[in-house]
Amino acid sequence: MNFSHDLMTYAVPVLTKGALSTLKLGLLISVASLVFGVILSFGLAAPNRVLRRLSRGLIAAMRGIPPLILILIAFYVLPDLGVMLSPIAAGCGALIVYFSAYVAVAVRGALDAVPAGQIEAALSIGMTSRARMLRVIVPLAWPILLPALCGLLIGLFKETALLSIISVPELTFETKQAVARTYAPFEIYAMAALLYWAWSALLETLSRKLEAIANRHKNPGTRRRQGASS
Amino acid sequence: MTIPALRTEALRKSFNGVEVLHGIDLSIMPGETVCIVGASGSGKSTFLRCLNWLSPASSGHVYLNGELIGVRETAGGSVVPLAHKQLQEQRQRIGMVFQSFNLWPHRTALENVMEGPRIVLNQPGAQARATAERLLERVGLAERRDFYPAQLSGGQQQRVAIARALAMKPEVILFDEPTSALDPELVGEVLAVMKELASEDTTMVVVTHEIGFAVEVADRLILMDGGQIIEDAPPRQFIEAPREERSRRFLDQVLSRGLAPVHTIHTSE
Ligand SMILES: Nc1ncnc2c1ncn2[C@@H]1O[C@H](COP(=O)(O)OP(=O)(O)OP(=O)(O)O)[C@@H](O)[C@H]1O
Ligand SMILES: [Mg+2]
Repeated sequence: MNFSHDLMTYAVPVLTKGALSTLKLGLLISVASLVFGVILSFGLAAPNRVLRRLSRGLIAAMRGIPPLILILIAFYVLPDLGVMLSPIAAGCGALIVYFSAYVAVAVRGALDAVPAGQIEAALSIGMTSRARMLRVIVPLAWPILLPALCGLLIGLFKETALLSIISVPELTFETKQAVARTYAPFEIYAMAALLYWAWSALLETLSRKLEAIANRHKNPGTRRRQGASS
Repeated sequence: MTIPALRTEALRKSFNGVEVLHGIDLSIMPGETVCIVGASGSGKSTFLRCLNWLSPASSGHVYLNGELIGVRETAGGSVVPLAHKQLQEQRQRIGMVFQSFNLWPHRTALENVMEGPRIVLNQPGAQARATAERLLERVGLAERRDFYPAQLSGGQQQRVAIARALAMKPEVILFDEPTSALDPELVGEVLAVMKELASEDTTMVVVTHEIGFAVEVADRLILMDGGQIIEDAPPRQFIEAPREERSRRFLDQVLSRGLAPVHTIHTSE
């Protein structure tokens, strides 16, 4: 086999395809986890006790079970219960449930960290609960939530590698295929590692930008905002 | 006969079965400035927070210009909590200034003051802004309107907080130790603003440890102890001839620390 020829014509396109697939899966799981996580965070503070218990139970379970086990259960056990899922659906579903729990904990923590005094100030001028949420609680919880959330989402991108175990054609799966075909494990694993790292670095940079925006009122710098009022 | 701006009737408050306010009756007439003093834990904050129902009373009534606060009477004569919307409308009419200012840190001074008129009263932006600018000027902070709270001193923050309360045009303003969190040199500028408000016949209830301010500005000075009102008198009379032994003891303690004068400083900075 021509080593470098195979690397270029076979491995690079395959890994690129895998990397794009990982990006897509990562985004899908991130968005879904955010949505379900926020819903679950309200479950944690629900007036209804049953709802609260269920939310807490789900979160405790997700914190105690390795995501790999969840993926295997979703793919191999659910069919026995009559739920047939494609590898992508089973794998993504498992990771979404897993990460929703962590998102919920982070969201709840950030909401609870908003100082009571600032909420009382909103109450004392007669703000509605909706206005309190949108104008005071969310803007103040956001900078607290952001670092935790970004950390979770970066971790999530890496955890998509677990999906290779049930043959979801993402980066790790394609990498293993390419290694089997080219017998160049060093180059190919190095490429895969670099691609994962590139996504993480991109997300890291993005999250730092977002954090800087969220915290700008804390470090307004020496230049004052003048335009707003003139 | 004018009706009181604020009136409480047999107001009681318990936390977890422990009663901390033991039936308080108090009337505050429109334009009056009433200062409340008392030892730590005597129930001053709790009382104030019952007045705008931040902390609902366990029993008894609060009336704002004759209107029952926080609850309503049903046709059957029983008392039930008011719907959120109505309670929010009542709170718009009662301003509150907190010990720790509680400005919203993500909004500038101007935005903090505009928030109520804009979001709660639904005023057009330009009108809310004009009101806010005028009020910031009144508390001497026109120059600082685009500063975030973190860029302001404690005294400046508290003056913004007073402007924020005033922006709602409340019928009465409650102050809970507005200068207790301030460095001594910043106390005067806040008291000066409050003194001016009092002189303009704003109805004010002020919990304070600044006995000098209370004597100079209050129409009535009230001593609370153990969840009850012990003394309620014009400040001169309170100081010179208190009726209660506990008032005398309180005065001895406070006056031994000396009367802090109210600075009549300019608030233009
Ligand atoms: N949320 C609460 N839960 C339980 N107990 C409370 C609560 N708030 C106040 N108390 C109790 O009620 C009593 C009166 O407290 P309050 O804060 O009204 O006193 P205060 O006169 O304002 O004191 P200070 O001068 O220290 O501010 C205290 O014994 C306090 O422990
Ligand atoms: Mg207090």
